[in-house]
Amino acid sequence: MQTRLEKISSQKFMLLLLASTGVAILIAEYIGKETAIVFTNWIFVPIPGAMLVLAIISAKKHGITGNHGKAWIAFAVFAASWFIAEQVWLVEELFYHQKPFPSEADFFYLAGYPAYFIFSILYMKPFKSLITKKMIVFASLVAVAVLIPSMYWTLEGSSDEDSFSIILGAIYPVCDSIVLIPAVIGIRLFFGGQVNFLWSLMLIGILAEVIADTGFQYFSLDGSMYTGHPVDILFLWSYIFFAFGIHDNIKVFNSKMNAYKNKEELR
Amino acid sequence: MIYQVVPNYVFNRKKSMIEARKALVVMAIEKTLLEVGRPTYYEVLAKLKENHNCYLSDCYENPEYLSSVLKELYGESRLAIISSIEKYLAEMSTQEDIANFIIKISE
Repeated sequence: MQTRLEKISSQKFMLLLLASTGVAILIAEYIGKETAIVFTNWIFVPIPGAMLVLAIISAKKHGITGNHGKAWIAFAVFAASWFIAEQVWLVEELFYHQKPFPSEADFFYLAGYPAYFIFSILYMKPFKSLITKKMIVFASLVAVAVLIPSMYWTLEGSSDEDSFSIILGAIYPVCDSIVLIPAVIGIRLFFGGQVNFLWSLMLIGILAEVIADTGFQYFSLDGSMYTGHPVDILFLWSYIFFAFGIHDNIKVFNSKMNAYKNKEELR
Repeated sequence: MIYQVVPNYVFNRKKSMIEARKALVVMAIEKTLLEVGRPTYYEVLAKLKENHNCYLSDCYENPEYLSSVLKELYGESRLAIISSIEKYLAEMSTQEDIANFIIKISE
């Protein structure tokens, strides 16, 4: 089992990273809009990149055997899809000087959601006998409760944005709410187990994503959204939460196993 | 006083029956854990050795060890894994030893 000290220091590192990235974006924004745009675009290379690397490591460790092996492959697809989306956004904005929303990046963002949903389903498949209708209804209610204010904020009011952008922007909170359902079930399902930390961070990450997407749409509608806006801190944080969740899961399934070179001797 | 003489072949047969049941239980556990994932399987083996100094085959006599390791990893959701193991052993559950194993692991 991961020692308490390791767990606390890992959480401390996560909190430090959350605080430092948040403060860094705020400082960049304080310096000026141009600085904020450049800094925020570039910070979306290493952080989603770290999540992608960890997802690939996890997928590689699991292999293709078992439901969790397939689940981590799906997660790696999700991580790759969002990483590509971030890089497309960067290239569009910094190199082609185009408005990055809507753009080709949206295709990769939206493609990531089904992959994430498949990950959740496959991860929970071995435990499906414990998933009750009551749990699904409760998780769905949580998702709807999150979605309603989000939709109200994103669709209310007039805007100069074209209808395609408005609809596209509204799709994100809907997708977030859908993937929120398995995250809520996961927390309830694995309560008390070591894998619960992964699901707690998945849930927090998705909640950060919901708020960020709602904020993005809201500020896009009134024309005040730009890369480096404080809303971007939440987008960045969701990657950090996901990355630390995966990191913890890798450690959980390595804590004892690594002590034995010949695993067959344990049989 | 009456002594009952148990012939050697009867004793050996009984012993081999126990070994066969033990192998069946180990197979059911392995199959279930590998269905979850390879790291789960190896981590459970390692935790059994580390925490209880036992091997998978020892879980036949001590199912509570397996139950506690699964609880450490998955919390109360371990019951789903236990129920899958039970399903594999369902046909054999009429055997007293297997039935005892199922009862003990479910506790």
